[in-house]
Amino acid sequence: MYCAKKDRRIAVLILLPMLLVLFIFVYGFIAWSLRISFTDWNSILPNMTSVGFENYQRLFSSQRFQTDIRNTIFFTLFFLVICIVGGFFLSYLLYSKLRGESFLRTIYLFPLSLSFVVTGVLWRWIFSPEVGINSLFRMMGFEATFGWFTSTYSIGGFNVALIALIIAASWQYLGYTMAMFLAGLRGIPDQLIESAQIDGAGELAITWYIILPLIKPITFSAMIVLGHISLKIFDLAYVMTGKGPAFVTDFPGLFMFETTFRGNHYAEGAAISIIMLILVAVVIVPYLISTLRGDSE
Amino acid sequence: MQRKPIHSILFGIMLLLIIIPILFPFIWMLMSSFKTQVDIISWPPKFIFTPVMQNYERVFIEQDFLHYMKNSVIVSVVSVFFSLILGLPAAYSIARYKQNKLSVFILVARLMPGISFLMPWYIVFSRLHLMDSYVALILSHMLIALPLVVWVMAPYFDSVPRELEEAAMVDGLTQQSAFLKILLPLSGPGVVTATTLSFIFSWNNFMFSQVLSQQKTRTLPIAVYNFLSYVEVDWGAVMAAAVVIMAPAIILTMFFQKYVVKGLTMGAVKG
Repeated sequence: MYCAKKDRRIAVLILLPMLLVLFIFVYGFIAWSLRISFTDWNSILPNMTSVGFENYQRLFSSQRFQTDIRNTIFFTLFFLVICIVGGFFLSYLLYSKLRGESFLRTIYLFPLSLSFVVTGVLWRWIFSPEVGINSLFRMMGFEATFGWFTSTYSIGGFNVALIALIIAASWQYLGYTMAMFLAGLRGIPDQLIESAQIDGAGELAITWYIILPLIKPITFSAMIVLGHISLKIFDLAYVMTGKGPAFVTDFPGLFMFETTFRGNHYAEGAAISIIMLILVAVVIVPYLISTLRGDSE
Repeated sequence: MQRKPIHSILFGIMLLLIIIPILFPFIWMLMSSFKTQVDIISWPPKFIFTPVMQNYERVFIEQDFLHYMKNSVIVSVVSVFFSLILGLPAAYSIARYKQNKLSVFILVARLMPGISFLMPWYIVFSRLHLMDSYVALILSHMLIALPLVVWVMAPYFDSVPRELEEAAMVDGLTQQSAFLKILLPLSGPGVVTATTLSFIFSWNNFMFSQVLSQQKTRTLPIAVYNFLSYVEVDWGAVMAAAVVIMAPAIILTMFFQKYVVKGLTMGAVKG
């Protein structure tokens, strides 16, 4: 047997350089952001006078920030539903071993390796009023041009302009959820399905009663991964649409960027970034708890 | 699952139909990058046209994209290199000494929104006069790559039987050389996965470079974005620039598809 105490010392020693980097540049800096968010530093000159929750209060009462939060929630909901339902459907189609499966899979995964900047540029162009999809509509005889991400139309708080962003983001991540589900489906023992088939269960019944319950953990992971991506969405909206007219495509990240790096409102920017952190934490904390529990079992 | 042949054919057809919307944007982008301005806006889109190189000439000669490309290569290669140097031993330590609690800190660092620690980066590096320096960019990109290396590598190291290492140590190897000569070569696929993924993530990164770089160290994604904001109408050149960023990532994904998928879905399937 190894001496546990000595082992632990070695382990920590090896980990130290990397932990130091992360503790300073991630956790330390988050603490610093938190500190700034309680100050009155809203000009170019540092001002560390404490003002309590004033920045947060101002944010929550601002029209723009309320829109941002609403946009984030709608964007996340639609993005999650499309990717998970679509991704499962694709993986299900690929599940029975088809010829050319790896070719198809590669193509579905293509968009994943793109930078959000490329995705943004590409879809900005596809949805741009002069070229792209609108030309297709014109050809089909619709005269009125739909504004896509410049449209200020809104249905019950949902800004229609978000549709373009949701399509772009889902296009990029559909293949990813497909790959996750496919890995899960392939992990289901063949005998389980076969014995159900022998018992006379149809494909629908097998899917509903056997497959779906078995891949529940994957659905959960997919929701976490996609959810934390969409809650911290920044690059895609920044490049593809910007904040849009009347903030129809604005997100907290864009607001933070503008107010901090263009307007020098450091304290306000810090408060936004902390709220974003909390939003993401709401999603990842349950995941971490379940992971840790799984490890100790 | 065994399916009736008619089902398989039906499913195959559906899969091919779904390929169209996935692939179409790529094809359109690639074609447009070789088209003249007139051909680009003509409708219906021309599938047969005389390819021209003027968009790429504009990007590389007028806009000096070679300079930005060089920056992107320097930043991603160096940051991935240092992330491997720091991350591989860390992953080993987590796997061998079961430091799961510490590994959670590393995973969480990866999931945190970059925005929440971006501002102090900006403050510190502008005070140190390190804005627009490779040091700042490489360090910031390491924050993306490091947790990824650990996250991918720890399970790989964990799967190598401890006896192999112990046998090597009985034969007189030190722990370090057992790690370098036995464990690392055996975990080759993991290293490929970690390297490919970190490279792609760093190559594609926008936020850190947007804040920390200016003309001298500007990377490709920022260059394309800036390009977009002042040549709004020249879509051909913008598409050519986008193709330039996209190409290395796509080629890597094609070559290492198996590894990339495994790396990205691993945590999920385990979870």
